[in-house]
Amino acid sequence: MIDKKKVLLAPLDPVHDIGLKMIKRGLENKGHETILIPPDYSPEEIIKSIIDNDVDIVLVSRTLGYGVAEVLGKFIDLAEASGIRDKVKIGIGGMAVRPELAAELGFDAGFGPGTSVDEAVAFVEGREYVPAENRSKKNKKDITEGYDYLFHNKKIEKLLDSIVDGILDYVSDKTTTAIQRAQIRRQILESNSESEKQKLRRDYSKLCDDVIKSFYESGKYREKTRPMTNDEVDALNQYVDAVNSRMNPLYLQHVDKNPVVFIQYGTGCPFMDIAHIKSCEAWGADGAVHFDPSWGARTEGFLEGYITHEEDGSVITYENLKSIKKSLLPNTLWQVRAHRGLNTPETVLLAGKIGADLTKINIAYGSLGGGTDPERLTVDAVEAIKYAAEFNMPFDVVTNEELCGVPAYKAFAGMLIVSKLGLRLGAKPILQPLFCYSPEVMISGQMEDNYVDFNAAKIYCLRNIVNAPIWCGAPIGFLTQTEDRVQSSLMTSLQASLASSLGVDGISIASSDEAFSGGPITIPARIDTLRATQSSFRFFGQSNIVPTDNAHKWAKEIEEGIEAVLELVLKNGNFVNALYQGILGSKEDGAYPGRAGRDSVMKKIY
Amino acid sequence: MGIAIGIAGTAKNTGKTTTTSAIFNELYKHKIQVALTSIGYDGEEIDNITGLPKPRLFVKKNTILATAKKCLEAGNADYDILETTDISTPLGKVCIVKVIKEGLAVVAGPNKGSQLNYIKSRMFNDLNCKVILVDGALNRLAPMIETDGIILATGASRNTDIDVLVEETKALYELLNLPTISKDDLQFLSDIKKIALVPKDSNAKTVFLKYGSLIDNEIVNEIADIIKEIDIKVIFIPALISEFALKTLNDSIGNSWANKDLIISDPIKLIIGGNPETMLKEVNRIKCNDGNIKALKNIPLLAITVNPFYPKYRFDKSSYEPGYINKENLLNKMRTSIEVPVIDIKQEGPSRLLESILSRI
Repeated sequence: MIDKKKVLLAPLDPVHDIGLKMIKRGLENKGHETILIPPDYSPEEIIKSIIDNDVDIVLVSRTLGYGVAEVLGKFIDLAEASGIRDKVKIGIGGMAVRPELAAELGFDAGFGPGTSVDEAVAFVEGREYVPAENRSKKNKKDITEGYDYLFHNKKIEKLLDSIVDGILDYVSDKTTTAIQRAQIRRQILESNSESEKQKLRRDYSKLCDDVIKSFYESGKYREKTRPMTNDEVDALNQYVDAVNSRMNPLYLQHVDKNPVVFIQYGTGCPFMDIAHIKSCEAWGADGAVHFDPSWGARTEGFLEGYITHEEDGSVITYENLKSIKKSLLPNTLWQVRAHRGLNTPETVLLAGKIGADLTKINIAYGSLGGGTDPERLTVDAVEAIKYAAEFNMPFDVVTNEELCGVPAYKAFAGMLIVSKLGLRLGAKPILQPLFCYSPEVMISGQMEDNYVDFNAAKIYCLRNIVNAPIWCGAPIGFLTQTEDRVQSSLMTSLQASLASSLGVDGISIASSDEAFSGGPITIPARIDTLRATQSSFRFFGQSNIVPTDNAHKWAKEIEEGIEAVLELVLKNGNFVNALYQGILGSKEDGAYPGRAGRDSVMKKIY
Repeated sequence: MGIAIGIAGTAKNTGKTTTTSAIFNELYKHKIQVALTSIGYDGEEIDNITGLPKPRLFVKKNTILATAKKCLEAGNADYDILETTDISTPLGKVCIVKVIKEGLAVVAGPNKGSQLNYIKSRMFNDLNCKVILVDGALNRLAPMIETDGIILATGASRNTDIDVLVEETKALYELLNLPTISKDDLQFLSDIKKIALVPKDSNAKTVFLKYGSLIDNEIVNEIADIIKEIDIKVIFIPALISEFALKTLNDSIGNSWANKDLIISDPIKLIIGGNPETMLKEVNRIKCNDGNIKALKNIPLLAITVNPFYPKYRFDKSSYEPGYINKENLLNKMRTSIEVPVIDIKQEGPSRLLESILSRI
């Protein structure tokens, strides 16, 4: 049974008392007696009210600025000099109040931004404040849940099935060194014998290019690449423990339909990556996407150990990925990308072995925009998708070739082919259309009036075709952001709300300095877009953004375009040739078949 | 028995922490057992408001501190916790600790006089401390009533106009040095918690008001009405006196102050109530009307330290940068007007300050 208290609520401020009014209602609901005095009372008048009303508790609110701290300290002094300090508890609330400031000013408690009414009630009742259970626990969301991948457009489904048959037939007698390396890596990871591991490493190095081979043979690191020291690894572990012990993550979502929000990292340094992830987790990010280095996509084979380098993306090794995975909150979704390069099967294998939630595979983008040879990536990707299925890791099929200039309908045709391939191999694909100001719309003018219609058209189109999860990327708002952080944050947040309004399941967001950082992005800029997204979700709630009629018109056009492209792919005979010939994105569009790994596919030896 | 010295800054950045550090070092040199606490929180690395760095206190082995639990994790000194008190602060319970490894410390002590009194008695009686330094501020002066004297840290951060600064400091000095009452009167008044009007007629009953503080018109009018009917010799105000109320009381009593005593609990109750110069003016009005003003207890001003530095706001950069007023002028004018040691602690060091402390042990 809690004692009923008499509480004086005093705005020591010319106008502001909204917070106190909310607390007043909370206190009265709990049966406490409250007296709210009007704003603009002098400190002496408040003191007299305290004496006249014989109250137990006083809650003062004030917006702080230079000099006002003195006013509040003085108020406490007046209370003490009046002889009431020993029998009255006094709390202070305001936008700039923190516990340290409250202590400095001599208050019994300080309530800053984000204080809940219950927190103030707990202070009045003299009990410890315990946040409500549902707010302190975030759950990991499976964004593929509830999707049956039923095709509404049967014509497209039929075309896709035929193309997938062709792909599987094409790869059936082919292999690559990447596939073989993944098989050896698996044996290394599963072996308990150090001597066997050493032998396997020697076998592995024979399948690598010279850069990686020299690491296994003579311990030599690639330029600008070095192992982390033991002290650095220890410091990283300590940092993670310290941060996790005080982690109290925010929620970005305001209503159930708000999508999960991913951030992307790849600073080059695992320590810095983790610092970015931890900051983003604290500010509400639901997931993190691991970016591999550009050079890694053109190198045959992976290094081993805790490795840092002075370039973009973060080096993929078992140890690096493991340390990042270990640092994550249990609820954080983690994706390791494998959509390009010469190590896709091994990347997905490592991700699966370490416990990643998601991966990223797209043959069309990886070979038309990601620099990898189409044949090589097709053979590797089939193997990678099999690993994704084995480890139950849904994979998204990103359509970033749109940024090269490939029209959406062509990019979507490629995405749907790889998605259908995934389904055939028992995996769960996630469609990843872009929310971007692409070269296509710059030329054709679909975004001349607004950024809403064409993005909505993409979602409508995909929903018309198949019941599959959608994760907009990557990141949303690409090419709509400028060097102005406020502008970039606003663009991100509006597109996040458009995605939510269209009922998508996930989004990736950039930091507000990502497009124009000219170097590493900063954590404050990450917080910018996370906070902006959170605010935008709060602003729109269940309400929707209503596109114009153009959205449905363009959705139909995209769908027709996809059908035409798929027919051409089929007519052409096989998917790999279609990639080389530009059917899924031509040189005129801005897409070039990648050269990394060209002519490296081998016949299987049985 | 030792001495508890309050160090009060008139504003942020007036050099209070520098003064405290300097005294500390001098006491260490003399091997005098020293303890430190503060009223509320201080010692932070970055000033809460301006963002400029602030010195933190370096404490040596065996120093006794009273500070909130969370502060023990800050800084790099190590401690042996001697007692976790029941005194709660927003930074956790106040602990009495002994420094076992020297280093920088953050001190957030009790913020009420009664709590400070407890800490003081533990430090003097059980831990044999000879000097307790109480870090405070002019806007947190009330708990200073538990100290035996105050060192005032003032300077350009309070006001960049030297004349205004000197006038204010002089007013503080005069208010802190009000005459005290006799022991007999003290016995009679010390337990009274409400405003008391003592008649000249020793057979007549003392009139007690509902309030202990003189803070508004209603209370002033009540006193004025009683004075009209009864010949009063003492007006005793045990708690706060506000500037506005004292002025109104003076306006309404005027010539009738003759042969009357206004007795207050201590000068701090007066200083807290308003601007020190205006308060002094009202005190002088009482004296001019042949009245007297006395205190039950005094907290003498032991010394003044001055700091010419202030955080200067740059509108073009929207940030603060260091600014300075003329130090020589400041020292000269202050020394001419006030009869306690006025020290530039950075230049002169703390030896003169220490003299005023040691002479009282």
